[in-house]
Amino acid sequence: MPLGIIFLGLYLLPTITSLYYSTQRWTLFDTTFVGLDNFIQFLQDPFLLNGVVNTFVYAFLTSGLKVTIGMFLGVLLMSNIKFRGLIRNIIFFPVLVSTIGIGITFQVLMKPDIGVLDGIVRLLGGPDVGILGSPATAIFGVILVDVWKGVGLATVIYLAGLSSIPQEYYEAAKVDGVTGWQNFRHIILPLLQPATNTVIILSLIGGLRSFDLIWAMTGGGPGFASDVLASLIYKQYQSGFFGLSTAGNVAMFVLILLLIVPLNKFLKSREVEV
Amino acid sequence: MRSTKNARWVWGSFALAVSVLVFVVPFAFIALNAAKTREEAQLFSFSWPQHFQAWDNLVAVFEANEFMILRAFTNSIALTVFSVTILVLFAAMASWIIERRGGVAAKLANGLVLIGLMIPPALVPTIFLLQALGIYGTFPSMVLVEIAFNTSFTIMIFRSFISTIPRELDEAAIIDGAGSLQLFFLIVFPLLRPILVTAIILNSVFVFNDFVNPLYFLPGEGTETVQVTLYNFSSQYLTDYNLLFMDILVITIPMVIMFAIFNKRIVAGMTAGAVKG
Amino acid sequence: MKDRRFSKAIALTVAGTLALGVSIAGAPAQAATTITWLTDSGANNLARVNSVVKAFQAKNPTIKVKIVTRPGGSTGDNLVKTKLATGTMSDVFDYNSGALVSALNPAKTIVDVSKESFWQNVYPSYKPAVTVAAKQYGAPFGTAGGGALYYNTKVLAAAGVTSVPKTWNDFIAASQKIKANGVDAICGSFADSWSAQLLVLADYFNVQASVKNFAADYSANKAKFAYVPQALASFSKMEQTFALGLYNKNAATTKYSEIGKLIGAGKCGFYPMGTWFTQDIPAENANEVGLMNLPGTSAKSNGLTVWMPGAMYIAKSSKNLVAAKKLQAFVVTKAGTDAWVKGDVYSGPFMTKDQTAAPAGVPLATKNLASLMKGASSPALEYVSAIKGPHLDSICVQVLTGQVSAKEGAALYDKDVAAQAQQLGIKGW
Repeated sequence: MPLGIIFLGLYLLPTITSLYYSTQRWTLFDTTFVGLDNFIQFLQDPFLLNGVVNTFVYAFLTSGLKVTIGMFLGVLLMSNIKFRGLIRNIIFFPVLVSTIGIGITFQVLMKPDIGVLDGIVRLLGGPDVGILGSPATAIFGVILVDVWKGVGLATVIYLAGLSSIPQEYYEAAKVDGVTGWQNFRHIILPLLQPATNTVIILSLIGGLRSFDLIWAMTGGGPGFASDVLASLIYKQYQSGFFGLSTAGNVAMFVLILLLIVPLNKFLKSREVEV
Repeated sequence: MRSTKNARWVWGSFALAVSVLVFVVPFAFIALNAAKTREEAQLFSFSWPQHFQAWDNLVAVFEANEFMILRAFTNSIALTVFSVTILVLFAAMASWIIERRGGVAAKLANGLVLIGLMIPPALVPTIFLLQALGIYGTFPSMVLVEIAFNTSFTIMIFRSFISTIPRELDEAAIIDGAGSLQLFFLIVFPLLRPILVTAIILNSVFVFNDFVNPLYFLPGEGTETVQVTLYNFSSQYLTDYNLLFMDILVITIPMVIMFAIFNKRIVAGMTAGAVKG
Repeated sequence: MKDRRFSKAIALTVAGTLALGVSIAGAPAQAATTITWLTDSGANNLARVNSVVKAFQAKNPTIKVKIVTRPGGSTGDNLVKTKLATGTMSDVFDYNSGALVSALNPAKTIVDVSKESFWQNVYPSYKPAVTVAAKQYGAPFGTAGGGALYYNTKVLAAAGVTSVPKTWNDFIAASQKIKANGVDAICGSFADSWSAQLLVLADYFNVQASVKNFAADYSANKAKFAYVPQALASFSKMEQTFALGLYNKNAATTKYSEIGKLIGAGKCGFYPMGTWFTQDIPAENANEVGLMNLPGTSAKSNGLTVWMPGAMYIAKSSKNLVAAKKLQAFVVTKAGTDAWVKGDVYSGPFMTKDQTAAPAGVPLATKNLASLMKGASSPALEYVSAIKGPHLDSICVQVLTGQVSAKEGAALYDKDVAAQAQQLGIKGW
């Protein structure tokens, strides 16, 4: 398979060599063997813990919200309400726009005082938010935008899943006289499991290693308050700590692996039961 | 039946209003500010431009850096078309084989795909490799890089779809005696249509909106991609928000056109699926 | 060579045979050399670079200079390093001078220009800024500036501050008067974290004024910010200004690009910044915003922390060394600096001896800078030590937003510096 060659050559091979570099002090120009020093130094990073916590919060929250909202919108758009084609297009539109563009725009929209979002909150009688400016809330501001941008994709995946559910199931349910909620809970939800799995795996992995939106909106700030693992690693790379950042990547990979592999098994097992 | 018809309208209108509020308002903000003067755009207010100069801004966006945006469009579109075509074609075949064949090889391939999703690609070793092959910085190598980096994601979405297609369909074809390439293009490919369209749209978005990889793998003059044009108007010290917003709008247009072309097919594909069921 | 191969590839793929035809037609008789120049894509910078290129090409008709742009900020830094490391850099590029140069590993990537004749026209005080291991690697490109305090004269007058504060205590007193008068005392733009470092960076004159060998001891792993009281004071200044609530309320989400209008309109009294900021002050307020030294403990030792101009470098991978050297030598001549001024506004002195242009009608801050330059001064720490911790910006934001104390911030920065020194492989760390 030509694809296999491209993939193995251009992705896997460099990835394996990066394992070697993670044990080197690597300035891109010279390498010096330092054993596990890079890993030790990476684990001693004073902001690592905060970054790990943020990574989990970010990944689980975005993926949870995308599953819930995406499924809701999918079901809604499969029902026979008016304008559903239009609504679907509107929801999907942000997926088409560049992350950098979205980041810049929301940075402006989320400004306190002059920002539109805070204006809406004030209009509803809420306090000044300035969500990106406070160390405690900045990460949640980015999470909101991530969900906003990505929920269209989740919706489309659900729509595809819903459309592949054979009509007989609905018919059978109708004959049995089940109500809407039961219908959803016992028929649609289990049959949607493959779609749910796809959304979970994609958005969870995406969330665990993503940082482009964070980078565009807060740069990990204020200070290091909204840094996630991937942005910390990027900061190392940018500082010229190439070996260190490679070691960080390896550490992140192990972390994701420990999380995703059991989860994948679990999700697959539920699929089979259906 | 009247009441259900009314309900369709009421719920539909309500859902439309909410989605417009949540998803369209930010773009209205972009569009309004894209028509303002530099000074007015700096106020970031949600107001009608006092001095409407959308055309001037559009011209400025196109003229910036000696019409860089035109070169960028050419590069990005060429890159997107080539890499997405190859990627989607091969990924569809690969996922079909992985999903249908089973066994150790498929398990292994599955694991690799998962790894591919998890580890961010290693930039510098990839550059070294391309240099060793003597193709670094060439357009074809950029295509290969985009293909390699998006393989995992594409296979992932194909596989989850293929697993929902009943095996009997293609097994019947094998009994009929169709060869495997023939089988694939005549029988399987049409079945994949809905997910094919999705894969094309998503990969196009990824490749077209990719900022980092072209920056590293496609250096040199005249090779800018559209995302880089955003930096014409935003530097460390100075940001022209009106032009920046205009640029965001302009570089989104190709994706909107692409979406409009394929969108009908998504709907068609889905309805087909529902009816077929 | 790589570039040529690349352009052929793209010509074949995208534009077909047309472009190829042009490249053959362009080859005859007098071989014109084309060199490439990687530079920041910001509009102000491009105007300057274009002006310099135009002047250069007029004098050297056989050389054509192609400008290649890169994003600014951290993305640009990454790109420069990666391009150098992989041998894919353009022929010449302009970049910072000072501590950042040693991270480029110049001995392997940049052409040594120690013996070039253009140095005769360059003030010797510039040399350390581009020196790594006793060799010089770049020619000064741009103007010198300082890290200092901008102030709005009207705001100070309205608050009853009659003279420019000369000590830190006077500065705090003046700030509190301004605050009491209902105006934000200091502008902060912490959304651009780099701009938050200025209170530390610009305070270096005061550090070195009282601790003579700080730079040497710091480079030798003997002096730490957290333990040298005068150095810790730089961090304490951030802590104190935050604790007293002297900043604009939304400093954490305000960007650098918004401050020009704010301080011009008198929305705040002071702004600690580098002198490149002068060009961002609205023209109508140009004579209301002045510049002063960041004050220390004593009025007697009041001086400017000087930023050296960036430099133009030639990549070792360049195949057009002769032409590249011509361009590099040109930017240091009077014609080169004249072209620079023509493409921009005059914002500060050049480091070349034959360029003295200080046109009339410059903004107040530029006039102030000229007189501050004549007084006591010291280069910033990054021009006298090869080690600069990469995360100073984020750490400063932490102190300025009250997430950590001055002492904690200083200790974090010491760790950051140590990590950098270790990565550079400097002995004694």
